[in-house]
Amino acid sequence: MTTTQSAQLKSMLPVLRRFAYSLTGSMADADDLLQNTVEKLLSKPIPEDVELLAWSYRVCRNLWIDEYRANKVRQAAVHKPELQHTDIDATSQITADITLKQVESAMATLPDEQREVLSLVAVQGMSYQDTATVLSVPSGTVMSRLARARTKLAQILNLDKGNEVTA
Amino acid sequence: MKITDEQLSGFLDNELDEQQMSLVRDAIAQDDTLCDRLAALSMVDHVVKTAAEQATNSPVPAHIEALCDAEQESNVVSFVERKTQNDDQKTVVQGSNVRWLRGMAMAASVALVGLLGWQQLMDGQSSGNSEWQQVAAVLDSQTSGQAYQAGAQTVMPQLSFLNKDGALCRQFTVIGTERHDAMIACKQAGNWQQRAAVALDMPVGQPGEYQTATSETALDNVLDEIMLGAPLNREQEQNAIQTNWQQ
Repeated sequence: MTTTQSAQLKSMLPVLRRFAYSLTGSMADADDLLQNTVEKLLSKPIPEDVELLAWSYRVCRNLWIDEYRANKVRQAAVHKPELQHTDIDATSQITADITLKQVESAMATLPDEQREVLSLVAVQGMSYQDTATVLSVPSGTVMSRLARARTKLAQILNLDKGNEVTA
Repeated sequence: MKITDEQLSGFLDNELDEQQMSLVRDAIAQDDTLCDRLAALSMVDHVVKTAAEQATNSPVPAHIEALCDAEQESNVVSFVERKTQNDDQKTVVQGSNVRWLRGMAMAASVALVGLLGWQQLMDGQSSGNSEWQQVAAVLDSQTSGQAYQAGAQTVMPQLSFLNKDGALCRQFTVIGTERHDAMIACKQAGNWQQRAAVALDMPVGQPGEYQTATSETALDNVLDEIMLGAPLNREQEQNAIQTNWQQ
């Protein structure tokens, strides 16, 4: 990695961390995933014709699929006190009616492929096409997964207030 | 007409085509409940994003930031070292090879295959196998960066380097009538010995044209393991040719 790229990567860490959090659903796992992602990115040259953030998302996601989705690290983290973040208040309010803990629980119910799409579009603000590129799926797939994710969370978090929501 | 959540979701992101956008717009204008549903879906984004921002509001752990800082420092050191060692020397990493090197990170894992045909060629080199001798002749005599005809095959040396055992090696591609391989061979005991090979898709363009990242990065993992230091520059390659690639 070039000096410019490593400086750029450092500036992107908060955004990448947010993505890692969205994928894993816990800060302990998110920071562990972030560290592994950074180490992976630094271990080999990055093609200059790729956009660093999209490349980083892809590396992060692949690591998550390989190592985190099976909860291996999550289980391991229980035994690593240094990875436990006690400064996160799960009872903090996201809205007047919804706590952080409720959002995390709701996100955890989503299938992985829906959670990653929601993370990229809703949290990171990526376009469908960019998301499709990161995930290597057609953009139509992004659209349908995203709609299902939004629908399900709206129901779980009672955001639809009784309105009919169809998939 | 029934408007689905997929349409509403796409509408929310302005990702529908104009005809669909117009359709949803008209539907919303006529149906208040659609507006409520749209608000609900939109609220999901707000909630999820706010939660992520709140949860990650703490500073990035210092030990992770330090990884990036360490990388920048090592880059400065290696640049200074390389500048000192290779001043005024033009590295033979030109044209497609530049992209080849840049693409090294793209080859996450390529399974090496035992290329029976090539192994037979390699085994037959001492008994005068003509095809391999033609390939070896190119490796012996040509610098990297261009394709050369060797009988019915096109051989393109891509990179030369010293391996950790002290032997000079070359990474190259061979395109025959029915196969396209990326290979690494090292000069040992006066002969080019195969170290690794992987079968590639047949190229679409002409021999010597820029090839896909996959073809250029297929042996990255092997290179990472056996390569010692930087690739040879053109002058070093020419010296190696004159000494018959003997160290």
